[in-house]
Parts: sequence; C-alpha cells; structure tokens
Amino acid sequence: MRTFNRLLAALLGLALAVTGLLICLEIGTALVGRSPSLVPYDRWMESAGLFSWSASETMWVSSGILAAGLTLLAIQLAPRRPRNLNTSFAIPKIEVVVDRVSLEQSLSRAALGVEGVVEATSRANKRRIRTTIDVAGGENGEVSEQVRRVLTTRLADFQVSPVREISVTARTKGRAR
Amino acid sequence: MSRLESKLDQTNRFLLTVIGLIVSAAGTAGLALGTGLLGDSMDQSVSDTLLTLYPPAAPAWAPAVVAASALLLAYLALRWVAAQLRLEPMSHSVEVERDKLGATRVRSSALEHSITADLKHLPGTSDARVRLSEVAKQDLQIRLELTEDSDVAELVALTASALPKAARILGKQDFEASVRLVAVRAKRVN
Repeated sequence: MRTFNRLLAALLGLALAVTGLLICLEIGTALVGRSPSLVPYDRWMESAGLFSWSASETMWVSSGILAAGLTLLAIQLAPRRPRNLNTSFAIPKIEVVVDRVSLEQSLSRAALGVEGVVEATSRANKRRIRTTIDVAGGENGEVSEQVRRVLTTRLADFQVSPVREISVTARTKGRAR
Repeated sequence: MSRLESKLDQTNRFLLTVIGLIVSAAGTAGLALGTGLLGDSMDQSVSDTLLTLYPPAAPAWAPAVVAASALLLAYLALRWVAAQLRLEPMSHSVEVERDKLGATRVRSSALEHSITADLKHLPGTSDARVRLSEVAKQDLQIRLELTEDSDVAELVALTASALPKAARILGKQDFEASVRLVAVRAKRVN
C-alpha cells in the first residue's frame, strides 16, 4: 500500500503542478491582453452548457467522482499493519526490529514443518499472530497445539514483543472445520 | 524504515485523505445539485452554475492573487513529487577527523562495504546491507537477512559487537544504529 500511495502521490502531484502552472500561465496571458492559448475554456463551457445537473450524464459523472473519492478515503483510512515489529533485544543505542512480512513467511514455514500440516499462512500485527493451517486427514487438536508450540518458539527466537495472542485455526484440507 | 520514509508515508496518507475528501465533496455536491437537494438548480445547466461562482465584479488584484496561489500550489505539488523520488539523502562521505591541517573524510560507500563484509560473515547470516545516513534517527541502518537455522539472539549480539568498529571509524561517541532482521529461507545445499 505504501508503494501504491507513493505512485498515486507522484501522479496527483504532477497533475496538480501542471494545473497550477497552466492557471498561472493563462492568467499571465490574459493580463497581457491575449486570449487563452493552452486551455480551451470556451469549448469546455460550451459542452458544460449542454447538460443540466439532473441529466443522466451529469449524474453518472458525479457518481463516478464520489466513488473515486470514497475509494481513496477508504484506502487511506483503512488500518495498516506495521512494516516492522518491535523486539525486546536490549542493546544500548541499537534498535532491533523484525520485518513483518518475512516473519509471517518464517512462521508459515515453521508451521509447515509440523507433521500433517500441508499448508500454512500467517498474519502478524503488533499484538496478534494468526496462523491458518490445512491439515491432511483431519485434525484432532494435537496438530494445532504442536503448531502453536513451534510458533511460540520461533517468536521467542526473534523476541517479538509484545505479542499477546497466538491463534491457530486448523482446517481439514479443502474445507473449514 | 527510516524516520524520513515514515514521515513521507504519513504525509502521503494525510494529503491523499484530504484529496479524497475534496473529491468526495465534489461528487456529493454534483449529486445534490442533480437531485434538487441544493435548491432549484436541477434544470440549470452545469456551465450556468459554474459562471455564478465567479464574482460579477472581481477586484483588479484578484487575478494576481489567483495566479500566485496557483504558482504556490504548483511549487508545493512539485516538492511532493520530488519527495517520492528521493527518499534518503545519503551522505557521500563522512568526516572522521579534523585538525589544523584539514579534515580526513571516508567515502560512505567504503565504510558501508567494510561493515557489510563484517556482518555477512556472521554465522547464520544470509545477507547484510548497511546504509549510512545523516538524516535518519540512527547513524547506521542495517538490514540483516537471517536463515531459519540461525541463532537470532547470538547473531544480534554479534552484530552489536561488530558495530563499535564502525563507531570508531566514524569517530562517534554517541553512536546509534537500527537493525532490521529479515527472516529468509535457508539456501539448499545439494
């Protein structure tokens, strides 16, 4: 999402810069008594005069603008998971963090090492680790417990803090339990 | 993530939220005008409404103010774009000593390579990348790739013990570093 935001910011920034410069240029041109050269205002106003606010075309365009604005707002206001997770390594003047995505992948690989687990995905945030495992041939509670132990050990290796909850959801391969 | 990157992400998020609000407000206004929620403008043409937004007798200084505002907007927008392209103004050289005769400077890349080489050889390390930054909170930013079988605590301790060398070269008493651990799959040896 950060990369998407940077791309979007660059595009919108460029659009705003071009708009600002055009406005400035057009005003300058008008001040010296020449007609607008780059922006066809007259044609734009003419076509805007063809549609009323209640026309279906105008309503569609307004709906599109509203949808774009709401989508942008939803993307920006949605909670984001951190890029790094804190650790409790206590070394003076050195801050040690763990890359979240790589930790999730590492936890999934650790879960896959447990016998019976055929697929595993992990999601981590500052306080919670959620791992979903697919177990071949059904799960009797033992596999989940083993996975939880493996995850706890892996998290302890990295001293990720403060994770308060590790949840393991087991599914029989192909359908939810 | 450096402090600069984090600040940029926050700024992007804030400005994109503001733009999202403005765009949503414009869309809502269009729909409100079209459904008659904002008076009897339903059948008015779009251009007529836009023309009513212009003051009939704008003062003589108004175009200059609009032009100046547009120029300011363009400048700020260009700075916003530039910020996306250049994240971390890295230092090219670091002054390690200064006396009456002059200063001794070490190329940052040379220093980074030297520290990287030390860290790469730590047991259980797959790769290491070191960045020297003058603007980040820390003097050194280290990305350390660890394999599954590595002893993380030992590796972190070894990394910490390798850093005073960097501090000595930099001639810094108050030395700060950030270490970003990246867990990677162990390479298969056939």
